[in-house]
Amino acid sequence: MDEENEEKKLWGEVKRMKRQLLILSMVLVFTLVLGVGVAAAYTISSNIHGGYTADTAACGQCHSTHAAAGKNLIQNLEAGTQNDVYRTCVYCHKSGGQSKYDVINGAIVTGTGTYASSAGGFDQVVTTEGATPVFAAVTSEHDVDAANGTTVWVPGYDTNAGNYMELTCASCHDPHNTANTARALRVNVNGVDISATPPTLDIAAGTVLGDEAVSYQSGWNEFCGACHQDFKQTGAGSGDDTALGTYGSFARHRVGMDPSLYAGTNENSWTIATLSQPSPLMPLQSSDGTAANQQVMCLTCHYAHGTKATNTVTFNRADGTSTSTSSTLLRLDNRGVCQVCHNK
Amino acid sequence: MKISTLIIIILSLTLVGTVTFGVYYINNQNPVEQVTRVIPVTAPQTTPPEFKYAIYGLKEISLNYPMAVTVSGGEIYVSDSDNHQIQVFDYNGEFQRLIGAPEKGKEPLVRTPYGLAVADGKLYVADLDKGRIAIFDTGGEFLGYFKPSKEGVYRKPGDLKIRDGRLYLTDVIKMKVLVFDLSGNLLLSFGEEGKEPGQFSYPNGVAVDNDGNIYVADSGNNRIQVFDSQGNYLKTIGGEEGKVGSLTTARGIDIDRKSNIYVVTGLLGQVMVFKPDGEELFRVGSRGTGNGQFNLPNGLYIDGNGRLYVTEVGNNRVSVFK
Repeated sequence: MDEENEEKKLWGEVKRMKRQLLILSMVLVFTLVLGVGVAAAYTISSNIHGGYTADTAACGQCHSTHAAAGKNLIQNLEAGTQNDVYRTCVYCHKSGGQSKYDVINGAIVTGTGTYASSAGGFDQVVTTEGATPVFAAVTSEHDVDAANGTTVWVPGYDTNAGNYMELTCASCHDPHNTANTARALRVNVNGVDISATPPTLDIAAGTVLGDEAVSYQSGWNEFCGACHQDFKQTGAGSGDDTALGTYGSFARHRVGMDPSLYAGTNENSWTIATLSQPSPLMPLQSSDGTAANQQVMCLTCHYAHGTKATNTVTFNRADGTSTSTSSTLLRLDNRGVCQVCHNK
Repeated sequence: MKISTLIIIILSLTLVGTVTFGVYYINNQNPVEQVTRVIPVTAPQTTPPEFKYAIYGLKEISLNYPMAVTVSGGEIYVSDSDNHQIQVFDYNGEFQRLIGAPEKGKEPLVRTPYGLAVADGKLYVADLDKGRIAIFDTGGEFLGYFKPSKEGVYRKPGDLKIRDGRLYLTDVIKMKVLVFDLSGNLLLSFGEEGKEPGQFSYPNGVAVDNDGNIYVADSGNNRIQVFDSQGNYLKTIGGEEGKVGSLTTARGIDIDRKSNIYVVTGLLGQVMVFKPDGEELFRVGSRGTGNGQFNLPNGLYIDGNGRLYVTEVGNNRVSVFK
């Protein structure tokens, strides 16, 4: 009798454990599905400009096959002093447009907060994030809004072209689907094929289209160097060798090296981890996320769109004849980027 | 020459001058419109309106990224968004005054003016980037900011209409429609981010018909959604389920007295017009810089005389049709 009772008790215990296991499994599956669902909301692979094969009507939003007003069959028109590509882009990528990326104000805007873009902005940048953000005017920016056909000065570019080229949003970004969908960056820039070394980055999960925390992986010097060609000096000793450069004969600060290998550099000034702006830290690129492969890149010292940094230092321009006091899209005031690394 | 002949010549010249001036005056100061702006007597719009004139503003303060327009008391109010002010014109497009013009060294009263509406002699201006609604008297004196009840706080106030003491507002980034009384009490709020009925993607324009139904230009979803006065979803025009295809970047929206629906399709550079049942009626304009053409149109308003006003952030002007 006791054995029978013991067996029943044991079976009861087994059933209870099975039930608990079933409930636990369901909870785990639910949590996993929910987690994937949330994570799938916005990822680095999300691209509003994608899906053209599924919805070819999207083409007609920007292009006109037989009645285009601008180059690349862009259907809209130059407006005043601004090119048609720029106007088409900012129709959505401006406050009140149809994107959380407000490139004019250098902001990512959500229903609850406004956050600084990793690229800076073209008119303003965010200095204080949150529900009541604070902005500051930019002091220098890439001149992507010039009128159609207008060329702009490109430091380190082909002197045969007079150092000038046309510049629009589409010079750097391909609004169609690209490998780097969250940034839609070109792999053919200024006629230079960089598809073997495309610019790659990562954005921390859960921060995409929010307070984005970005880490840079590889290809950034090749990307910027497609236009700023003479500045892409990756060889040792470029700072001393005045023979380097295709178009100029200036000594250039090297890129693509590990700054920790140089005596006197301050390792507390840079990071390979994900970085959320605004930040005093300087980003390095690392192909595998380890310090062993960390490298200085153009974006270590410069923003891509624009900066609020002030500059009173007069310097010689790369044409060798003129001077400037431009803040040259630098991350810090008055060449502060030099000091944070070299700590003189 | 006889004196009588000379007098006849002078009188003839005077007559020619008077007639020429009269024709010019009537064309530019249409007396019918002068009267009907006070007493609307024209029939509801059933055919495509014709281009009348465009407003660019004065040369030294020309419009810069005009996002919205409204008309009240025979005056045309335009959000001069990138100049951080409102420009006011008379019914013939002549510049009258600035409202909220930034003072040097001071933070503008309105950073990025968008939706506009006049009620009880007060001009309400949605400030997109400051997340607030500024109130001026129509002469331009700043009266303060609209104070929404706590639950009705908005982040990116877009289009704004006032009707029967109710203020209708889109929040472009919270992706909601909010309805307040003019004391700031939230009467109604609906919408969230998404593609389903009742959800929005960067809603811009808002309009209200005679029955109190609410029309929302659901910009990112390329469609118009219609709701009853309580915010219950009624139907969609355009988009995937519509008969007319996607309403590419639907922005400004308004309803005429026949309940026809006018909507700006920004990147297409057209105004599309629908019957109340959603059937397309006609289109206005095409892409371009000429008279009656549009370059990145955004705001839209229909006044009591059936005049259609369309702002263009590409051509930096307001085009008037009738």
